[in-house]
Amino acid sequence: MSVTHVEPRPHEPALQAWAPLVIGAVLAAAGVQYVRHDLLFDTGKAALGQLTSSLFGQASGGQVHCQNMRDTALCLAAYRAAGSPPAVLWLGNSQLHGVNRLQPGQKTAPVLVHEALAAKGRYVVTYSQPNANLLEHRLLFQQLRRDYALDTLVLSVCLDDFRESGIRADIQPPAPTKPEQAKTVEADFSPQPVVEVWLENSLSQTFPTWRDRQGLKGLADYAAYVIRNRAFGINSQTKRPVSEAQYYEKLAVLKAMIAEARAANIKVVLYVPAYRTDVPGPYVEEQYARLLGDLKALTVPGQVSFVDLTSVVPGPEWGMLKDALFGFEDYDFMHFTAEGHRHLAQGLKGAI
Amino acid sequence: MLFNSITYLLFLPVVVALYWLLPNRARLWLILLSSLVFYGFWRIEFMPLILFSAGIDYVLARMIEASDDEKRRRFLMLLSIVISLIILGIFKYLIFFVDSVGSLAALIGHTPSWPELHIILPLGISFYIFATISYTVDVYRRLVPAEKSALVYFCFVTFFPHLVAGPILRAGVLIPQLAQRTAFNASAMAEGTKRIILGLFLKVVLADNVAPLVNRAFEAPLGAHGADAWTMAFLFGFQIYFDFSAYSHIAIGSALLMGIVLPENFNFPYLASSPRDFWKRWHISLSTWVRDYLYMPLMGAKPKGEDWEAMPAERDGGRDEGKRTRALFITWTLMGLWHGANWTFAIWGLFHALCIWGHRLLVSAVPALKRSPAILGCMVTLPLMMAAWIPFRAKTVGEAFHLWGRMIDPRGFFNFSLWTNSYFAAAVLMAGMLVVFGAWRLSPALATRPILRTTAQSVILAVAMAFVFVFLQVRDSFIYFQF
Repeated sequence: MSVTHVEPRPHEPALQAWAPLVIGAVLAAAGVQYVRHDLLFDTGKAALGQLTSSLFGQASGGQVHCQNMRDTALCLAAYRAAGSPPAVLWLGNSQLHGVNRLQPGQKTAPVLVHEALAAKGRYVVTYSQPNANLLEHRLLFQQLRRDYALDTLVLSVCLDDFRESGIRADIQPPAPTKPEQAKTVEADFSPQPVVEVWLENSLSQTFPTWRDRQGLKGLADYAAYVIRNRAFGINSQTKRPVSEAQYYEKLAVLKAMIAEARAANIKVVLYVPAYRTDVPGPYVEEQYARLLGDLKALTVPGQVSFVDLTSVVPGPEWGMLKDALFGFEDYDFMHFTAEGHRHLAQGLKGAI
Repeated sequence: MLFNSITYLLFLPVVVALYWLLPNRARLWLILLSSLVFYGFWRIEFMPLILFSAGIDYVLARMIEASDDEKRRRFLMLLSIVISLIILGIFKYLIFFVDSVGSLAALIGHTPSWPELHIILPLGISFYIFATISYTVDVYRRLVPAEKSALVYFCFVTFFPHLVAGPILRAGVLIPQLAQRTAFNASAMAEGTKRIILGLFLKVVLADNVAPLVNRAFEAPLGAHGADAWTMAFLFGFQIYFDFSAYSHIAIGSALLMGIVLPENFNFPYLASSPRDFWKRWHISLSTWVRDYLYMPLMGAKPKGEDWEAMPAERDGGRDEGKRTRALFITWTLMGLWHGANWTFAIWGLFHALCIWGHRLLVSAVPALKRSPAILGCMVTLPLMMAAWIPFRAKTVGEAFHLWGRMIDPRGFFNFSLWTNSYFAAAVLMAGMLVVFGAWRLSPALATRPILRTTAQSVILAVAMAFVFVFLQVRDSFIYFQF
């Protein structure tokens, strides 16, 4: 192979050269359309599986359960309509909004707790996201403190979520459009990002297939995830240890949150989420026991309390995870039926 | 402008269409203006720098050719090199130099206080400076005539497919193709299109999805044990290979759409049978540039046309071997620093020099090794070449040596702490590479079976195009943009 001169390359006949490209393009387009129409689903809900639904409930005619800063306006509107009373902020993961085998009219634990405490003049508002980690909880808490007159923080401390460290963009409030941003781009003389965003938006508005790319990408990532699990024999019962570094990082975040709450005279109620115990689960028993011990050690009478809700939901109320793409089934260690939510609400409301 | 962007995928067909519609001289103006637009899409304020640098070398090359005085010719060549290196030095190495001096001063108790420098590295500066240096040296060596047409010369320097991240082109390769009117060739356009699709697949589907695993692993490298350190090395090795070869594929493909043939830059480097063989397969345009303009001159070799005079084995009483070794280490250290203004890159270069030198000693001590099966060489070379990526990716020299130490430390070797996907990805990519190489080796057998060949190509291209469509987004620029 020479770099000082190049020989003209022998070329095959034009038809032979172009045929695979044309055929490939047709096949690619057909494949993308098939996946779009027949396989595409909301991968954001894939973690819940086919048998579990999301429910962000309402009470007293207003939204009392939201996800994050993207939909917080709904919960805030209801709170202000209620006269902005002293509020209880409940932060958790998908256990709070996921309901297995949901039936019409059923309620989640956040709504049940809200209704129970509303009768006593307390206002409970809940924010939950799938696999929410303590970094995100802390960020959300710092922002929501400005919007609600909080007197209590109820915090779900889930060992499995100690392995997560990302902070989703939805945790931040939407960035306001600043005219200075465009000026900055001009000052940097770099048109690429501006043009690229404009092209992306134009194509999305014009072509539905282009608009669905994000969903298709999520589907591809999800398929790779499922295939990986099957290839390695990973299922929901596979032990998922938390590394020392991750554990102590999250514990430090938790302690910082507690300190911030106490400095603002906000009581803290820590709890470990309900965990399926009728079959062997993914937690390493020693790690879980250590977590319980560390959380108990954080209690301060009258200010920080801890509730162990590990076994509050009985076996039959737990769900199965059915993979939305291939239909594989696994034990669900996080989500349960509406009856399970009733047990959760019952176990927690006394501590608030 | 980034290759992996919607902007480029709209820009390219427009430029190519105009290219074939315009007469030859107008084509050159199109190439120059579109290349400047391509470059200016990143930072328009650095366009004058590339034009200034190219302009200096255009003038000096013509002066070299016009002179018959060897001393004057040599002086002009050296002047061109010095000016080019000063430009490169200011924009790429000044901060590194100042920081290094500051660190040395701190070691002896001095803390110099000088103003903080804010110098932006112009995109592609390492590449176009090397291209212009090779041009003036080749004119001096009388390998190519000095280009009289300023338009053709500026097109050579700024030609957008290779401008930002290579291949580093020799004037003798590109200028004749620019100067003559290329004939439209439909099958060349098909091949160019396929190369672009392949490059985009490597970048947006493979490299950009391996990147988060690598970034995450290297965020906390000090906690990694043996198996993790090797996984990190292999993952980054795959990431940089996909990323950089993707750029080359897209560059070659884009040029082919205009009927211009660029040399290959990669040839399955991870299947090299020796460290020396690796450098005949990895970033070929750089390794040959370094050989022709640095290594051979340092060895005192005399150019003979496009090649070099054979080096007598026993000349100068064996000091030749010493000169050869010195040239090797100096060249590779400088090549490391070319990649980045950080001592980690110098260590990367030194590691490669050590590997080549070690292989040389081994083969000379045990000549039978020359006849050993290539697969044995691959099995030894691959882990060495992957281990070499550690200092390339590590943030500090300390991190690099720590990870290298872990790689050979049996204690806690199988303490796994990376994301599960990291191991999965490394294993799948390794297997995939072997499958692809095997398929490539078998592909000539399909030459006599056109239907089977067309079917196989169609399926592969369909999958590639579908995934590129889904995954295309400007998430990461190419790794070699930082060089």
